[in-house]
Amino acid sequence: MKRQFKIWTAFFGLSAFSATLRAQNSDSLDRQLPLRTLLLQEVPVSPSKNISEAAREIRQNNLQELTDKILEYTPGINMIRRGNFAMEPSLRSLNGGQITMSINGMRIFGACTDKMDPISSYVEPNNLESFSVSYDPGANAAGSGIGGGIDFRLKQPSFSDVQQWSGRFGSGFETNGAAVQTLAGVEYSNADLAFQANGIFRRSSNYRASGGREIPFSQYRKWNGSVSMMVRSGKSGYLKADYLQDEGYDIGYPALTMDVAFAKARIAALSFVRNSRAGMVRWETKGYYNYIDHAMDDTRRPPETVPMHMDMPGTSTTFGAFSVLDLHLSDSHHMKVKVDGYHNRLWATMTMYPSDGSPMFMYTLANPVRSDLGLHISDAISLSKKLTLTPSARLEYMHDAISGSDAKEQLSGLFEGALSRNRMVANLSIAASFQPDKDWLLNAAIARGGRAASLQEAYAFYIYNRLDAFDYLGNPDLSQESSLNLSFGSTYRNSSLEISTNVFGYFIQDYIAGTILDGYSTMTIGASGVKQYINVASARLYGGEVALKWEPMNRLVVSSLNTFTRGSDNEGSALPLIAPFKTINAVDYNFRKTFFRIEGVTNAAQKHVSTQKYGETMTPESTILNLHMGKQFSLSKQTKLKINLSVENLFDEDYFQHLDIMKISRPGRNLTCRMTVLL
Amino acid sequence: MLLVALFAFASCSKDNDINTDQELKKALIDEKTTPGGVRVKLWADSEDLRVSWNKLYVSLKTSSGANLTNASVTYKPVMDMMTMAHSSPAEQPVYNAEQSLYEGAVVFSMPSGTMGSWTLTVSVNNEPVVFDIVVKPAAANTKHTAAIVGSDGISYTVALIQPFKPKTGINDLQILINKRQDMMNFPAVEDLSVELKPEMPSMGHGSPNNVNPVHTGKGHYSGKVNFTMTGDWRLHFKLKRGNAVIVEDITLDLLF
Ligand SMILES: [Cu+2]
Repeated sequence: MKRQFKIWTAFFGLSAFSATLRAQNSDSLDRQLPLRTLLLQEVPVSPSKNISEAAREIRQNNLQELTDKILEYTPGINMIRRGNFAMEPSLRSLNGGQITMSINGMRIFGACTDKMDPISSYVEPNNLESFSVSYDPGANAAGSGIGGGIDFRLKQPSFSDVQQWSGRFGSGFETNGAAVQTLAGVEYSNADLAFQANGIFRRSSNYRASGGREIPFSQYRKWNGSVSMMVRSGKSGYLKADYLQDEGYDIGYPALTMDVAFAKARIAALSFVRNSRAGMVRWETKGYYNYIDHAMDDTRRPPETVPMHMDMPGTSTTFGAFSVLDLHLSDSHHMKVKVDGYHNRLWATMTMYPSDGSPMFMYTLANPVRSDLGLHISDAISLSKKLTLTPSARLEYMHDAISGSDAKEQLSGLFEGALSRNRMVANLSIAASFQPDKDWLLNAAIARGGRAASLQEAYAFYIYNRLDAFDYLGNPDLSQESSLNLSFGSTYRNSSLEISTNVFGYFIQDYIAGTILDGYSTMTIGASGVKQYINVASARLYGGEVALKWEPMNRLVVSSLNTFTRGSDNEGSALPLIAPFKTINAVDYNFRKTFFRIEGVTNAAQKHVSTQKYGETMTPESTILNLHMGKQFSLSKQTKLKINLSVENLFDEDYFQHLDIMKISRPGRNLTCRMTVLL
Repeated sequence: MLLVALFAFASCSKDNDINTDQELKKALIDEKTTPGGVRVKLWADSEDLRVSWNKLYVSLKTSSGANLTNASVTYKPVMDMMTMAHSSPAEQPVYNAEQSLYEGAVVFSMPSGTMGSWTLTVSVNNEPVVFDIVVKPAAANTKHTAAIVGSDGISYTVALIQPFKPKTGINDLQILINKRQDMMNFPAVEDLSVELKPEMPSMGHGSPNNVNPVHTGKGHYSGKVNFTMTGDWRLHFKLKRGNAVIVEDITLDLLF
């Protein structure tokens, strides 16, 4: 019982078609992954996640849905949409540098100055095992932020006593945009070696909004491949190598002025893991490297919309390492210590080609480099059977600098004096969970979060923000943004009903936002002006999530996932990119490896906006209805065939959501058919 | 006669030794001898003299081959346009002992060509030698000197001294302002206040954090200019005397 409440986000096995998901997942954890229990226990409790699994399960079990959509149906997460691909996750409406995003604990930073390449776009459902969401800045081991973070965990092979082969392949088709997906994967394991490889290819033409209206520049094409290998080393240790490559081409961003010619990611890691005393101690040390290469493209846009052709490439290079020790000191005492560091270098330039006159070149990110060292400690102590306290802390030191004399010279026109900065950030929290009886779980947390300005916020050089149509300048002298986070959660559960509620209030100080600079001329043709990042004295964010799951009769599950946030700054102006109330209500019916799901997604209107200050306009309410059905056939003892059919936006509504930049209509009716064979 | 020739030869070869030394940094434009036997070599920073502010150097040697270090040297540029002749702003040379050169500068306001041809008269202790000068037009899409008639009816010349090699970021800016007294005299103007506004003509934007040039002596005005990117830049100058606007807008064009 206790473990069910503990941390874990989701283990989406391939054993999808079961109404008793939770029990199954726990079983599979126990059986296959004794070493991972501890790891999973690191993540703070968020009971509502259990309920949201059904929605995610359905989206992930065919291994073909975009990770974006899997995230979108998770309470607390809203996606900032710039195109039909590579949406940017926001956590309780916090985004960018306010939250951390990592893959297997590795820090990866996007290379695009227009935020076209959130790292979630490099993870595909066929190599995603789970993602863990942490709202607690102190307990977030990946990095510093005021709103926690999301860590994507890639699938990994596991050793087996007898030699085993397994594989999978599948394909899917969507009517809207004539999108196709094709995937294949293979896994081999024996007692000392485990290997896995996964690949997926997907493409889509322009999608159509309601009424068959084509949305130009919404196409994409990408492939993703990953390999993972584990070799046993000694009795209780193993060496693991991971490599992931993701390449996207010709990706349209209808909400932006440019598209993407290519977006490439190479992510490599080498880890050494040691376990001792039957999983009482787990020690993982990892070194990693990633390189993101990104090039924007305006050559396919109609000439009348391109006042001047430009090239805007960017790269992000990160080296990092960490060593993490999980200590299961006793049944009532778990401790985790992590030391980590990384070195990230960004490079982004813009070259403009006027029809008459010489090309014009500048850095938009003039080689800013961040070197980072962090220490994380978390200690979960059960004071009694009912009460567990978890104090956590994360300290992080950063050194930012500009590399290259031409880069320094260019920035000399904007910033006086030396450009390097040292930053120190502390995240502290204490969480308590109290289980008065077997039906109830209460938890509360208080945290002090802090985060350094991102390299973009510190050193941006006329980076255009489509949301408010301003060119942004960085500010190396930004103070850290800090917050006091209060949260309270409760879960009630009996045999047929489960209700989880989280409420939170974040009291932010030195909120980082843009302020208009008078007398500065814009770099971007058509921009409204120039803004520079400053610290706004304070801001407030509050909201909550409510998840409900009810099984009125056998095989029938009614669920409701609700997310709400509201934010305002010190002058009472609404903060930008705050999602309104969102509710996802579904009825699931499972019968003999067949499932049906009917699902309504409603976003309330967002009227709490500050057009003047942050450039946002109001967004109307929207509701869509989705249908899903699936069946699993056993072709032989091992071979299974899964077929999923779905209709998204059944009534072909014309709609968009508040976090959709430029309010481009989302897809109209979409029929999808997906087949996956498990060998 | 032979002796003189020998002497000349000897001094020549001796000169050459020194020339190679100097040639590391300067380009020899031409050389002449004054009636009094002083060898005058005219040097510039590059072989090409252009419509712009040009630094010009002379080295002087007596017939005995010794450096002449305390001569009074003046420059007088003249453009002969058949029907008329005119001069242009010049900064008179002063001796630089470190380089053993007299350093001055000339603003050539037009290129040589069918319109006319330039000469530079270098007087050494009032003994003139006349150099024929080829002035090339400004590099494409650049304009490093400009002239305009002010609201006071006087023609003003603005010439760019710095940045010689512009780069992105903050550059030291220095301009020379002269006025046309008559066709042959262009004295420096020392009593103006200058407002600077850079612009990228192909995009229409400017740049922040520029510093208006202020007078530092002999018609030189020094300030700072910020180039946010490479490409074509236009520098707009507004010239004021007290509160009176003398020139609303005079522009120089740079390209890098
Ligand atoms: Cu981009």
